[in-house]
Amino acid sequence: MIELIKIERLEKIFHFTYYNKKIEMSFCELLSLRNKVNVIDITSHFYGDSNRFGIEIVTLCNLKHILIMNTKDILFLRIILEKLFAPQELVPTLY
Amino acid sequence: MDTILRESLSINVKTIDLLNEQIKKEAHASATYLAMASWCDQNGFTHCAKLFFDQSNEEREHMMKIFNFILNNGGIAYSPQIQNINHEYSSITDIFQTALQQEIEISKSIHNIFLNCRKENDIPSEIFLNWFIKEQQEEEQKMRRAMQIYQLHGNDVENIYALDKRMAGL
Repeated sequence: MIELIKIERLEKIFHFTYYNKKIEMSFCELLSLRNKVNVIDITSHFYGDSNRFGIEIVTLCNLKHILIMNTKDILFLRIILEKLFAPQELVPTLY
Repeated sequence: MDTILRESLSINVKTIDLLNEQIKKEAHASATYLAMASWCDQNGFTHCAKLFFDQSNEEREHMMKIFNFILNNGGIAYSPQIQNINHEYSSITDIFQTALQQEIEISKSIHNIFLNCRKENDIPSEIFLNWFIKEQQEEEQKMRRAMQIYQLHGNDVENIYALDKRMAGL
Protein backbone atom coordinates (compact mmCIF):
# COMPACT_ATOMS: atom_id res chain seq x y z
CA MET A 1 0.00 0.00 0.00
CA ILE A 2 2.80 2.38 0.92
CA GLU A 3 4.37 2.20 -2.53
CA LEU A 4 1.07 2.23 -4.44
CA ILE A 5 0.07 5.70 -3.27
CA LYS A 6 2.70 8.33 -2.69
CA ILE A 7 3.44 11.99 -3.22
CA GLU A 8 7.00 13.12 -3.85
CA ARG A 9 8.35 16.58 -4.46
CA LEU A 10 10.93 17.57 -7.01
CA GLU A 11 11.62 21.30 -6.63
CA LYS A 12 8.26 22.95 -7.25
CA ILE A 13 6.49 20.01 -8.91
CA PHE A 14 4.75 17.23 -7.01
CA HIS A 15 4.73 13.69 -8.36
CA PHE A 16 1.60 11.87 -7.26
CA THR A 17 1.69 8.11 -7.80
CA TYR A 18 -1.69 6.45 -7.54
CA TYR A 19 -1.28 2.73 -8.22
CA ASN A 20 -0.04 2.67 -11.86
CA LYS A 21 -0.94 6.25 -12.57
CA LYS A 22 1.69 8.98 -12.30
CA ILE A 23 0.50 12.57 -12.15
CA GLU A 24 2.56 15.76 -12.07
CA MET A 25 0.95 18.48 -10.01
CA SER A 26 1.66 22.05 -9.07
CA PHE A 27 1.22 23.23 -5.48
CA CYS A 28 -2.20 24.67 -6.32
CA GLU A 29 -3.35 21.37 -7.81
CA LEU A 30 -2.07 19.57 -4.72
CA LEU A 31 -4.01 21.99 -2.51
CA SER A 32 -7.10 21.25 -4.57
CA LEU A 33 -6.56 17.49 -4.17
CA ARG A 34 -6.25 17.99 -0.41
CA ASN A 35 -9.57 19.77 -0.30
CA LYS A 36 -11.34 17.23 -2.50
CA VAL A 37 -10.15 14.34 -0.35
CA ASN A 38 -11.04 16.15 2.90
CA VAL A 39 -14.61 17.00 1.88
CA ILE A 40 -15.49 13.38 1.09
CA ASP A 41 -18.13 12.19 3.53
CA ILE A 42 -16.33 9.08 4.74
CA THR A 43 -19.09 8.14 7.24
CA SER A 44 -21.42 7.47 4.30
CA HIS A 45 -19.11 4.57 3.40
CA PHE A 46 -19.96 2.92 6.71
CA TYR A 47 -23.50 4.04 7.53
CA GLY A 48 -26.60 4.51 5.45
CA ASP A 49 -27.34 3.61 1.85
CA SER A 50 -25.97 6.64 0.02
CA ASN A 51 -22.54 5.07 -0.64
CA ARG A 52 -22.68 1.43 0.41
CA PHE A 53 -19.76 0.39 -1.79
CA GLY A 54 -17.45 3.13 -0.56
CA ILE A 55 -16.35 4.33 -3.98
CA GLU A 56 -15.53 7.94 -4.80
CA ILE A 57 -14.64 9.50 -8.13
CA VAL A 58 -12.23 12.41 -7.85
CA THR A 59 -11.15 14.62 -10.73
CA LEU A 60 -7.75 16.33 -10.73
CA CYS A 61 -5.91 19.10 -12.52
CA ASN A 62 -8.88 20.70 -14.25
CA LEU A 63 -10.41 17.38 -15.30
CA LYS A 64 -7.18 16.07 -16.86
CA HIS A 65 -7.24 13.04 -14.56
CA ILE A 66 -9.92 10.92 -12.92
CA LEU A 67 -9.27 8.73 -9.90
CA ILE A 68 -11.56 6.01 -8.61
CA MET A 69 -10.90 5.57 -4.91
CA ASN A 70 -12.13 3.18 -2.27
CA THR A 71 -12.41 3.85 1.46
CA LYS A 72 -8.89 2.64 2.31
CA ASP A 73 -7.32 4.71 -0.46
CA ILE A 74 -9.10 7.86 0.76
CA LEU A 75 -8.07 7.34 4.37
CA PHE A 76 -4.48 6.61 3.41
CA LEU A 77 -4.30 9.64 1.13
CA ARG A 78 -5.68 11.83 3.90
CA ILE A 79 -2.82 10.73 6.15
CA ILE A 80 -0.22 11.47 3.45
CA LEU A 81 -1.69 14.91 2.78
CA GLU A 82 -2.02 15.73 6.49
CA LYS A 83 1.71 15.03 6.95
CA LEU A 84 2.61 16.98 3.83
CA PHE A 85 0.64 20.02 4.94
CA ALA A 86 1.73 19.86 8.59
CA PRO A 87 1.74 23.36 10.12
CA GLN A 88 4.38 25.57 8.66
CA GLU A 89 6.13 28.31 10.64
CA LEU A 90 4.39 31.56 9.72
CA VAL A 91 5.91 33.10 12.80
CA PRO A 92 8.93 31.42 14.33
CA THR A 93 8.57 30.52 17.99
CA LEU A 94 10.83 32.52 20.27
CA TYR A 95 12.72 30.47 22.80
CA MET B 1 7.93 21.25 1.90
CA ASP B 2 7.97 24.01 4.51
CA THR B 3 9.65 26.45 2.11
CA ILE B 4 7.26 25.82 -0.78
CA LEU B 5 4.29 25.93 1.60
CA ARG B 6 5.46 29.25 3.02
CA GLU B 7 6.21 30.63 -0.44
CA SER B 8 2.77 29.61 -1.71
CA LEU B 9 0.60 30.57 1.27
CA SER B 10 0.70 33.60 3.56
CA ILE B 11 -1.75 32.05 5.99
CA ASN B 12 -2.13 28.67 7.67
CA VAL B 13 -3.74 25.94 5.58
CA LYS B 14 -6.11 24.95 8.43
CA THR B 15 -7.25 28.57 8.64
CA ILE B 16 -8.10 28.36 4.94
CA ASP B 17 -10.26 25.28 5.61
CA LEU B 18 -12.11 27.08 8.41
CA LEU B 19 -12.55 30.21 6.33
CA ASN B 20 -14.03 28.18 3.48
CA GLU B 21 -16.53 26.76 5.97
CA GLN B 22 -17.26 30.31 7.10
CA ILE B 23 -17.98 31.31 3.51
CA LYS B 24 -20.74 28.68 3.45
CA LYS B 25 -22.19 30.05 6.70
CA GLU B 26 -22.18 33.64 5.50
CA ALA B 27 -23.83 32.58 2.22
CA HIS B 28 -26.45 30.61 4.15
CA ALA B 29 -27.08 33.64 6.37
CA SER B 30 -27.48 35.86 3.31
CA ALA B 31 -30.04 33.49 1.79
CA THR B 32 -31.88 33.20 5.10
CA TYR B 33 -32.19 36.98 5.36
CA LEU B 34 -33.57 37.03 1.83
CA ALA B 35 -36.23 34.51 2.88
CA MET B 36 -37.04 36.68 5.90
CA ALA B 37 -37.33 39.74 3.65
CA SER B 38 -39.74 37.82 1.47
CA TRP B 39 -41.88 36.80 4.47
CA CYS B 40 -41.92 40.37 5.80
CA ASP B 41 -42.94 41.77 2.45
CA GLN B 42 -45.75 39.25 2.06
CA ASN B 43 -47.04 39.99 5.56
CA GLY B 44 -47.03 43.78 5.28
CA PHE B 45 -43.83 44.59 7.22
CA THR B 46 -42.31 46.88 4.60
CA HIS B 47 -39.55 48.39 6.71
CA CYS B 48 -38.58 45.04 8.17
CA ALA B 49 -38.36 43.69 4.63
CA LYS B 50 -35.95 46.49 3.71
CA LEU B 51 -33.90 45.79 6.84
CA PHE B 52 -33.57 42.15 5.85
CA PHE B 53 -32.77 42.93 2.22
CA ASP B 54 -29.93 45.13 3.50
CA GLN B 55 -28.83 42.40 5.91
CA SER B 56 -28.76 39.89 3.08
CA ASN B 57 -26.48 42.15 1.04
CA GLU B 58 -24.26 42.72 4.06
CA GLU B 59 -23.80 39.00 4.68
CA ARG B 60 -22.84 38.55 1.04
CA GLU B 61 -20.25 41.31 1.44
CA HIS B 62 -18.84 39.50 4.48
CA MET B 63 -18.64 36.33 2.43
CA MET B 64 -16.80 38.15 -0.38
CA LYS B 65 -14.34 39.68 2.08
CA ILE B 66 -13.39 36.21 3.28
CA PHE B 67 -13.36 34.86 -0.27
CA ASN B 68 -10.93 37.52 -1.44
CA PHE B 69 -8.78 37.17 1.66
CA ILE B 70 -8.22 33.49 0.93
CA LEU B 71 -7.40 34.14 -2.73
CA ASN B 72 -5.09 37.08 -1.94
CA ASN B 73 -3.10 34.88 0.43
CA GLY B 74 -2.48 32.06 -2.01
CA GLY B 75 -5.30 29.73 -1.04
CA ILE B 76 -8.26 28.33 -2.95
CA ALA B 77 -11.68 29.80 -2.09
CA TYR B 78 -14.77 27.70 -2.87
CA SER B 79 -18.11 29.03 -4.03
CA PRO B 80 -20.69 27.67 -1.57
CA GLN B 81 -23.80 25.57 -2.11
CA ILE B 82 -26.85 26.84 -0.28
CA GLN B 83 -29.58 24.48 0.89
CA ASN B 84 -32.35 24.21 3.46
CA ILE B 85 -33.50 27.80 3.66
CA ASN B 86 -36.53 28.16 5.90
CA HIS B 87 -39.38 30.32 4.60
CA GLU B 88 -41.90 29.56 7.33
CA TYR B 89 -42.15 31.82 10.37
CA SER B 90 -44.94 32.07 12.94
CA SER B 91 -44.60 35.82 13.63
CA ILE B 92 -42.37 38.85 13.23
CA THR B 93 -40.98 38.19 16.71
CA ASP B 94 -40.13 34.66 15.62
CA ILE B 95 -38.17 36.09 12.69
CA PHE B 96 -36.10 38.44 14.85
CA GLN B 97 -35.49 35.70 17.37
CA THR B 98 -34.20 33.47 14.55
CA ALA B 99 -32.12 36.32 13.16
CA LEU B 100 -30.49 36.90 16.55
CA GLN B 101 -29.74 33.19 16.94
CA GLN B 102 -28.20 33.16 13.49
CA GLU B 103 -25.92 36.07 14.33
CA ILE B 104 -24.88 34.40 17.59
CA GLU B 105 -23.97 31.22 15.71
CA ILE B 106 -21.90 33.18 13.21
CA SER B 107 -20.14 35.02 16.05
CA LYS B 108 -19.27 31.70 17.70
CA SER B 109 -17.91 30.42 14.44
CA ILE B 110 -15.72 33.51 13.92
CA HIS B 111 -14.42 33.27 17.50
CA ASN B 112 -13.55 29.64 16.91
CA ILE B 113 -11.50 30.51 13.81
CA PHE B 114 -9.81 33.35 15.72
CA LEU B 115 -8.79 30.98 18.53
CA ASN B 116 -7.53 28.49 15.98
CA CYS B 117 -5.37 31.25 14.43
CA ARG B 118 -3.90 31.95 17.87
CA LYS B 119 -3.11 28.28 18.31
CA GLU B 120 -1.43 28.07 14.87
CA ASN B 121 0.42 31.41 15.20
CA ASP B 122 -1.44 32.69 12.13
CA ILE B 123 -1.13 36.42 12.82
CA PRO B 124 -2.34 37.78 9.44
CA SER B 125 -5.59 35.84 9.75
CA GLU B 126 -6.02 36.93 13.36
CA ILE B 127 -5.72 40.59 12.33
CA PHE B 128 -8.15 40.01 9.45
CA LEU B 129 -10.72 38.49 11.82
CA ASN B 130 -10.61 41.44 14.24
CA TRP B 131 -12.91 43.36 11.89
CA PHE B 132 -15.41 40.48 11.85
CA ILE B 133 -15.49 40.22 15.63
CA LYS B 134 -16.42 43.89 15.97
CA GLU B 135 -18.90 43.63 13.10
CA GLN B 136 -20.62 40.65 14.71
CA GLN B 137 -21.06 42.54 17.97
CA GLU B 138 -22.93 45.23 16.03
CA GLU B 139 -25.04 42.68 14.16
CA GLU B 140 -26.06 40.94 17.38
CA GLN B 141 -26.91 44.26 18.98
CA LYS B 142 -29.10 45.22 16.01
CA MET B 143 -31.11 42.01 16.10
CA ARG B 144 -31.32 42.00 19.87
CA ARG B 145 -32.72 45.54 19.83
CA ALA B 146 -35.32 44.68 17.18
CA MET B 147 -36.38 41.55 19.02
CA GLN B 148 -36.72 43.45 22.32
CA ILE B 149 -38.85 46.15 20.67
CA TYR B 150 -41.31 43.57 19.38
CA GLN B 151 -41.29 41.50 22.54
CA LEU B 152 -42.04 44.54 24.71
CA HIS B 153 -44.55 46.32 22.51
CA GLY B 154 -45.80 43.98 19.83
CA ASN B 155 -48.83 42.39 21.50
CA ASP B 156 -51.60 43.87 19.41
CA VAL B 157 -52.08 44.04 15.66
CA GLU B 158 -51.99 47.85 15.39
CA ASN B 159 -48.79 48.06 17.37
CA ILE B 160 -46.80 45.53 15.34
CA TYR B 161 -47.31 47.50 12.14
CA ALA B 162 -46.53 50.79 13.85
CA LEU B 163 -43.32 49.26 15.20
CA ASP B 164 -42.37 48.26 11.66
CA LYS B 165 -41.54 51.92 10.96
CA ARG B 166 -39.02 51.90 13.82
CA MET B 167 -37.08 49.14 12.06
CA ALA B 168 -35.99 51.67 9.44
CA GLY B 169 -33.83 53.36 12.08
CA LEU B 170 -31.89 50.25 13.13
